[in-house]
Amino acid sequence: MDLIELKRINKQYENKEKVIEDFDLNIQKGDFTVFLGPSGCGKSTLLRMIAGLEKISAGELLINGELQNNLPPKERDIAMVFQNYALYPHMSVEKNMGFGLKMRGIDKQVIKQKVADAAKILNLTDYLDKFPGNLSGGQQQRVALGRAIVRESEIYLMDEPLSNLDAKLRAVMREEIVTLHNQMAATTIYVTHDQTEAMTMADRIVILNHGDIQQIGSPKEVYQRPQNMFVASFIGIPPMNLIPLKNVAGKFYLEDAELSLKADIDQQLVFGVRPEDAFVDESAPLKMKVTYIEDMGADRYVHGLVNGTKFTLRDSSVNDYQVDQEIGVGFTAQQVSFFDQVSTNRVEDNLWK
Amino acid sequence: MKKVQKIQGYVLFIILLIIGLLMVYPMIWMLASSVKSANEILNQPLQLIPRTLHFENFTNALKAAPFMQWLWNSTWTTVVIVFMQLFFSSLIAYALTQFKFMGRNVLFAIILATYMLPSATTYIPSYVILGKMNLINSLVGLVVSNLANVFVIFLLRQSFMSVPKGIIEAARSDGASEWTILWQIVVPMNKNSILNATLIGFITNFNGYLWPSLLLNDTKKQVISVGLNSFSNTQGAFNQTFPIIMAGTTIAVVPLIIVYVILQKYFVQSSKTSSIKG
Amino acid sequence: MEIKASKRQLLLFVVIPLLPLIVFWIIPLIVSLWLSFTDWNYISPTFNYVGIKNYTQLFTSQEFKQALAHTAYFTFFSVVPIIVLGFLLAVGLNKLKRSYKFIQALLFAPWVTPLIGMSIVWGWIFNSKVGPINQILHLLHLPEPQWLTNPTAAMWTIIIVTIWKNAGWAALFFSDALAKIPASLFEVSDMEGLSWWQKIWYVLIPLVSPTTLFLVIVMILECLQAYDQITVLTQGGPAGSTTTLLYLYYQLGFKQFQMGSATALSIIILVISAILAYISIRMSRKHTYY
Repeated sequence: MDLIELKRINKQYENKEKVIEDFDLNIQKGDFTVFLGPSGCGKSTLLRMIAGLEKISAGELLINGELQNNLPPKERDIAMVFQNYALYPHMSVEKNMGFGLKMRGIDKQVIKQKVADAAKILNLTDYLDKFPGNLSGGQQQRVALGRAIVRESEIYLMDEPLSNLDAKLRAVMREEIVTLHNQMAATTIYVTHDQTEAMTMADRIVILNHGDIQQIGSPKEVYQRPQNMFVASFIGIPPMNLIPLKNVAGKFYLEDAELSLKADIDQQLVFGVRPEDAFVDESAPLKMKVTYIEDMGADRYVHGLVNGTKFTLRDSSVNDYQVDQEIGVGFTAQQVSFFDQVSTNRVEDNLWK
Repeated sequence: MKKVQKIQGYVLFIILLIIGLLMVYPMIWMLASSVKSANEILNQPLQLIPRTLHFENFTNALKAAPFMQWLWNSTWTTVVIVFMQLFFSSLIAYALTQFKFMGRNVLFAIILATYMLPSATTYIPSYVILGKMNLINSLVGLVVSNLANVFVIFLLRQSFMSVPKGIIEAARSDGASEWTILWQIVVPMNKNSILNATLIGFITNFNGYLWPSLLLNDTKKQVISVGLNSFSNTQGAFNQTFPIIMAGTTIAVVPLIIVYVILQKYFVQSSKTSSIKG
Repeated sequence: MEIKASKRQLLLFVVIPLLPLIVFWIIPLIVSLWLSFTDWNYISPTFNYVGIKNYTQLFTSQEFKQALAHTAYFTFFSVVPIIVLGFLLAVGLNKLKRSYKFIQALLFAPWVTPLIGMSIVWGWIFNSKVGPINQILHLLHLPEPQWLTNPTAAMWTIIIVTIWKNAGWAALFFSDALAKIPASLFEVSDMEGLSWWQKIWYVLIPLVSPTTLFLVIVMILECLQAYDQITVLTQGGPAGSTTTLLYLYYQLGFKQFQMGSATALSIIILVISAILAYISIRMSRKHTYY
């Protein structure tokens, strides 16, 4: 059964445009779901509606089949981790972690035990008497996680919890959060704008833009089969190359090279290929003028212009070329994507003749 | 649910409005009483709006005491004091933040240690010192004895600390003298703190009473607070003199109310910087 | 980098601007201490050293003990309402969705207007026969105190005027401190199920405690130095019932010209202030969360 059901959820602030319109999503027990999207896409608003921190303008939110719309946050069995940690600065780590339980009138000894257990998992045992102000960002984030853990809620919501940490710590914390999630058999919804977090942590990624779902799928799915041009250009560093095809009376041209595709005669298509699926091939008819070479050590990103359109390929060969040189670009036919230029949606069928 | 919140909002607003009006009630009552006749005040003490306007209260007050002279005395001494305090304090604050010199830490420690101390402790010796300088009963004496203000030094020092070192170094490498850097770069960069210190300084000096009352004797040489209080005392707490006292008080208070209304937003912001009056 | 100042620069930036500070602040503080060990009476050119006699005399005199008690009473019953009222006003102000600035301006106005002038006005408002306060009490059939002539009532008159002057000022600081609390802390407390009074008790009050501490200290110092409202409303009376330490200092020094006793008293006030300032610095180090 689905643990969380969002049915035609709407969010509209007073006298303003709708931020979220008719949003549907089901989340299963035990899933690690990531809401991914650029800032302002409504992902945090969704999370806060699930938490009960924002009112749902229209639609239904069900948890375990029960309507939650009008329940205050404390009556939803949910624990949340905030971006800025939101620790009480005047309470020790131990007090911070146990405060929610204390407010629920739980026995002091029980709280102490639970906090001690959580602290052990999070390596915070030595810090229980410290105050948040004396902790590093990573430690504070652990305390925030610990506070959520001790609640033993069914659902954990995390709102960009790692965005205030430096890159190295972020990588460590990603792993820790996923491990925790698995240990506790929790259901987690995680909001981020960082695709690396989404790709490495999620069971399922929900990609959002302007309050609409662009694609739902496993990291692999959204990477390999982006459902539209937004996803194609949003996922991947560097993103997928997109070049509109010329349609001359039903014949499709990638620049000067004709591609033998079986598409409607009047269809306008966009050709997409990931940098790692393209390669240098002097014999290829597609030519790119190199503008910049990024040497990453193991391989290189070669940036250039294909007839004025930016194009990037990843090259791990020992080929030698310079800026301003023109090189041929080849690609693996089975690894390319096609999109409809009008709807921007992926053309699912195999178009190759 | 929304309706309940709206009603709560209105109730809160009305409660705060009533408290706010109670806070300014003395001022309003003063203004109203200053244009009433004594009989009207005595017969209907709760009636706020005057039935007939008696502006002669003001002319009588102005005839009875040199209010305009006092206002002028307060104004010019306050302006000079505030200006000089800012001038000297800027120099010291700049030295404290940009120079290395012997005794710098001691100097700052003294400033830090004394800025919360009661100025009343200095009155007797200061009085004697001013006497030796022949500046008792003189407005110049009032100005001279107020040239130093530990609070302003402290405030500006804290503010000057936030000027990025790179800017000072860039100016030095451009060949600017320290004097130029202070007045052309550091002071303009800290204009908010300067404005705050100016407003607080203006209020505390213009409204100051105890020290000027000790220092100044001649009626002509009074500042407005001292003059007003002696005027009120000489008129006496008789019912018939009540309107003229209110008129005099209005003359003393209204300039500040006007300044406050015009500069309200700056006052609210700068009052928070003040931790204690100078 | 800080540069080493030349002699000319030191003269210009340090020595000259420090002169008024030394002459009218540092030296007087030291001289006060010195005078407090003498029996100088201002008029005579000579004086004797009397050791700590001024202090022992003060500590044993009825006048001093009373003034100390009055100061403590006045300070306590002014500061506590100022803080409580200031805090509540700030909580209200920060919840206000309209006219925030206007209300704030009203609350803050007493701090700007001259206390001498406004104390004269208050004197008439408290006038037991024609003042509006007793008129209203009369309409409500409540007892009408002789505000300025009854010793207890006189002290409360001074206290009310002091609260009136400072409550809005305190509210401003609290309102600032409250606005700085991150919204997510309140959201966390929502999720943890705090009721509104639990939020005030467990979150708001502890988080503004540095501001509270600061305001308590500053207000105590303000009360120790209160003079204007006392001199206008009661002149220390009736029967010395509103004579605080500072007012006693004024009487000893500038009415009775007992400079030794007066400076000794001023040193005592200074020591009390210094202790409070020291406590505030120590405690603010301990209680700063951000």
